[in-house]
Amino acid sequence: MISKQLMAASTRPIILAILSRSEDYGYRIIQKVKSVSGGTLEWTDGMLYPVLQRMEMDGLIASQWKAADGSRPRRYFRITASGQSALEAELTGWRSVWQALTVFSEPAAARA
Amino acid sequence: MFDLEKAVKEWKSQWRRHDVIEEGLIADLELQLRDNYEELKVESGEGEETFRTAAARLGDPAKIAAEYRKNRNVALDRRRPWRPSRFLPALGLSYFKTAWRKMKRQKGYAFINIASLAVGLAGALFIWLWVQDELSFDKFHANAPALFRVEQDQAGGQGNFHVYVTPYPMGPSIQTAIPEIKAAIRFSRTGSVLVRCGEKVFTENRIRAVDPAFLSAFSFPLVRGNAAGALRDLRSILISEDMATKYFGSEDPLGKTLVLNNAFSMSVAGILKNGPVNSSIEFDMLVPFEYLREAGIDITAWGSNVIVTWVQLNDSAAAASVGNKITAYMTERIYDSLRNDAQALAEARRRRLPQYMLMPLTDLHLKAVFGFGQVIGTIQSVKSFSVIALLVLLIACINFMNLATARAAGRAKEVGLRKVSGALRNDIAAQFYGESALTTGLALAAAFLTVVLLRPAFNILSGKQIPLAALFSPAFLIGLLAATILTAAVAGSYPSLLLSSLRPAAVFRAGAKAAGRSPLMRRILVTVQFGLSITLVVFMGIVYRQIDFMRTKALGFDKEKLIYVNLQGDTASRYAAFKQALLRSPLIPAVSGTSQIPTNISANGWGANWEGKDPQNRVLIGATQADFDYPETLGIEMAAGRTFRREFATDEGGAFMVNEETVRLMGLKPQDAVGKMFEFQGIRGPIVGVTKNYHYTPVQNPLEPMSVVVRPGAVAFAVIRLGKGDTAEALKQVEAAWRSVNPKYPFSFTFFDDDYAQSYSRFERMGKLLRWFSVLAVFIACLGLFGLAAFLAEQRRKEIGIRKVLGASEGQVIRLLSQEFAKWVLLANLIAWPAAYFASRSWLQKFPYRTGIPLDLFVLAGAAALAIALLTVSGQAWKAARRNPGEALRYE
Repeated sequence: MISKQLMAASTRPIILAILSRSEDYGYRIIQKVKSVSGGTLEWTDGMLYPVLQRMEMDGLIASQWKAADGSRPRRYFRITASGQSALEAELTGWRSVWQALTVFSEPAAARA
Repeated sequence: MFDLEKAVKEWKSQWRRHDVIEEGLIADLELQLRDNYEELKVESGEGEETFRTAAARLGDPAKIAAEYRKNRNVALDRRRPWRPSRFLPALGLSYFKTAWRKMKRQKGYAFINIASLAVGLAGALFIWLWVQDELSFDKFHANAPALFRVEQDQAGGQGNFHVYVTPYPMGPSIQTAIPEIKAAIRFSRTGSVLVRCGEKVFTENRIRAVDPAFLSAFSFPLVRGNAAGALRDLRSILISEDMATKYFGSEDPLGKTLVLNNAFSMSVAGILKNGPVNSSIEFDMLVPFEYLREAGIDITAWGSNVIVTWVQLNDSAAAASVGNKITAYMTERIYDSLRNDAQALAEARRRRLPQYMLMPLTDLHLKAVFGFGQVIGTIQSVKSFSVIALLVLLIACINFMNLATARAAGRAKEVGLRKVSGALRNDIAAQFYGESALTTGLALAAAFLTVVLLRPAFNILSGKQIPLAALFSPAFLIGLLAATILTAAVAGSYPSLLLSSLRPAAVFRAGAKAAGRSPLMRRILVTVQFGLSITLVVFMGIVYRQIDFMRTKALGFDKEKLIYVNLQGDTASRYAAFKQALLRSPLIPAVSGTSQIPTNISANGWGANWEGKDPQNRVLIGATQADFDYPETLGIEMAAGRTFRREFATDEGGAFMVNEETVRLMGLKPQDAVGKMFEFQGIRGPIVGVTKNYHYTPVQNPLEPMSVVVRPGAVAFAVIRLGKGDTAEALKQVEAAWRSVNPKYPFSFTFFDDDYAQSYSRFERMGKLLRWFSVLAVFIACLGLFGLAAFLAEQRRKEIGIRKVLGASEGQVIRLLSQEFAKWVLLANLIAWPAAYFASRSWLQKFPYRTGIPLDLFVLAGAAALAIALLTVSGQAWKAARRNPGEALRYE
């Protein structure tokens, strides 16, 4: 399990990342996160929606109701241009964090 | 069987409890739930258990709602920059600046606006002061809510006769009999009393005899002396501060002696603080009630209603029931007194005995009633003047509306531009309300200053003594604030509604012309203004006519050169000698006397009986006890029969003279009544003569049946006719006669004329006030008209120029401009006349003898209004007509 703080910090970039591949709706976004993380990223399903609303307010994503033939209508979210650039920025940030963690978690001897 | 739809519905209602989770959001969550369920049912199958797991995965609604709430707050935060605070519009300063510039640029209009509002407000404030003063009467007593005056309704053939006097011994008796009465206080006038202090001798008319409880029940504090012991010593007297100064100057009056009527030495036991002016109970000195016994009055007699009885209740809510208990007590008393006279008892049981009721002290001034429903209280005046205040204010508001809308043309572009720049209708409305508030505020300052400066003059005019402090009392300031807000709201309403409704596109396309064109509304407003003014003027005219009518009405006797002399103390016993001395003078043709003030005879009684009277019909008849020569001295004409003559032995105390009203009540003709036996107040004898009706009280009182008997011994007022010669000389002779008979008493007398005139002063005062307010109303209306005319002349400048170039004369131009206003004012007459007619008629209703409502007054008021209006307008029209047309047309 990962910490609450990390969860909170990572939710937005993960959603942005998912949506940068293709537009999608709430249930499937959650499914994708679960399947990729193998269960370590466990979101309360309901909590996703306020986050989506907030991201939409911030202009990072946009939504639209669509009905694929035969099935229920669903609200599809897609990433906006500013969401795209926000994702770039997030990724840069996460990469530097990752880099730093990698460097400092290697055995000291190997470094020398 | 598990019902999915039902479960979803219930689940949704759980979420709906949180107001932040809107329907759209619930739809999102529902889809999630359904997807979860679809997914789970593959493994665990359908059913409630599966559904619950699916729902659990969505999480706690409260927590999620909290998240949504955060979002909403963010959203609200973000909106803030576009929402200026309601209390200080961002453009407030700009509005203020605009208004200020407009005022500066058009000083004339600004002046008219502010001046008319100020005058209207000042008028309204004066009336508010007056009304407040009227309402404040008798409220200063700490026990005011618990204090009541005992009053009674006497039933008889002519209807209920209401009086507020009671028998002498009633107070102590009802206090013993009725536990709700904490204290009963007898309160009696003492007539006019000669007060002597060494060399100083004055006649005092405001000495009252009261029970000791008077001082504890009412809030009339002593500044010197002991309230608890005062009035218990038979020879003690309390005097007001004014009286202390009058008799003792700077000396200490306590323990000093005042001699009443040259007979009773009273020791000053205390000094009363001068009573407030707004008190219905007035006195200069107080003596113990028992003093009356000393003065020869039988204060144990139940027979007649003479004194006022006040009661202080333990619980003021019990007033009605205490009234009933007094009625029951008094009824029982009457039955008991008649128990030895079976016939009288049966008769008493048959008829309706007096019904007693308690009049709250605090209602006394406003709502007092006397006689057959005569209202003495001032509540009617309070209401009328309040209405007049509002009307004057309304007229002033209309000025503001008219001028503001007339000038709307000049503001139309400003409004258009503001709207184009994003102002909403409400913003524009707020702007113009603000302007009206600014103008009203300035007017208020001017009005307040006016009220402060003119207060002394108003006091003289209204007969009040309103202190400066009254202007700063909370009630007055609240009234002030209310008047200002009301004025600002009313005055600002029409301009702001009109101007805020302008459409920018129309304004810019048609230019200034389309805006501010509301001639119909303006016409209506001016008509209303003049209608109200004319109504006031006509009403004022009626009031004056009525006063004039009362003053000049034939009283049924000759009131010119007629005086009466109050026979104080023991001088009454020397009346015969005085009369003799008087008649020795050739300048004094006739002398008689009465037991009561001859200009206001109020004694009356129910027990009259005569030959052929229906025993069921009880009637109230006035009782005059007079000397011989009474009708001759006054100049009362006879309708039938003769007057009293000394030759007939029974004429003294054994014969009656009655007035026509009595005869009418008897159902007889005057000549048939002569010789009929009459029985009244213990006297039985024939009617020897019938007088024509004459007014023995002021004309505002109804003329009632009156009987006269001769009782020289009862005379307390000498009535003296002065002859044709020099009045001053005749008066000297009266004085000489007085001095020869009553050397120890100062001489004073009263003209009948003055008494009657005095009794109309209340109405005269009302007339004067009304005159001022009518003048104000007309003045304000004219001020508005002046501004409007100036504006319209300005607006039609080019038209006038063209007309003149094409040959119109100045006269034609003046007529052109005046015509329109004349039409409005004439129309105003049509509205004003019926209104004034009904107002006057209802006011006149209360006078038993009243003037007709003359048509010429209406025409006169209408014509005057028209003349004043035309005069106002034609000045402007003349100016416009004289203008060189070249100037008006040049810049084209």
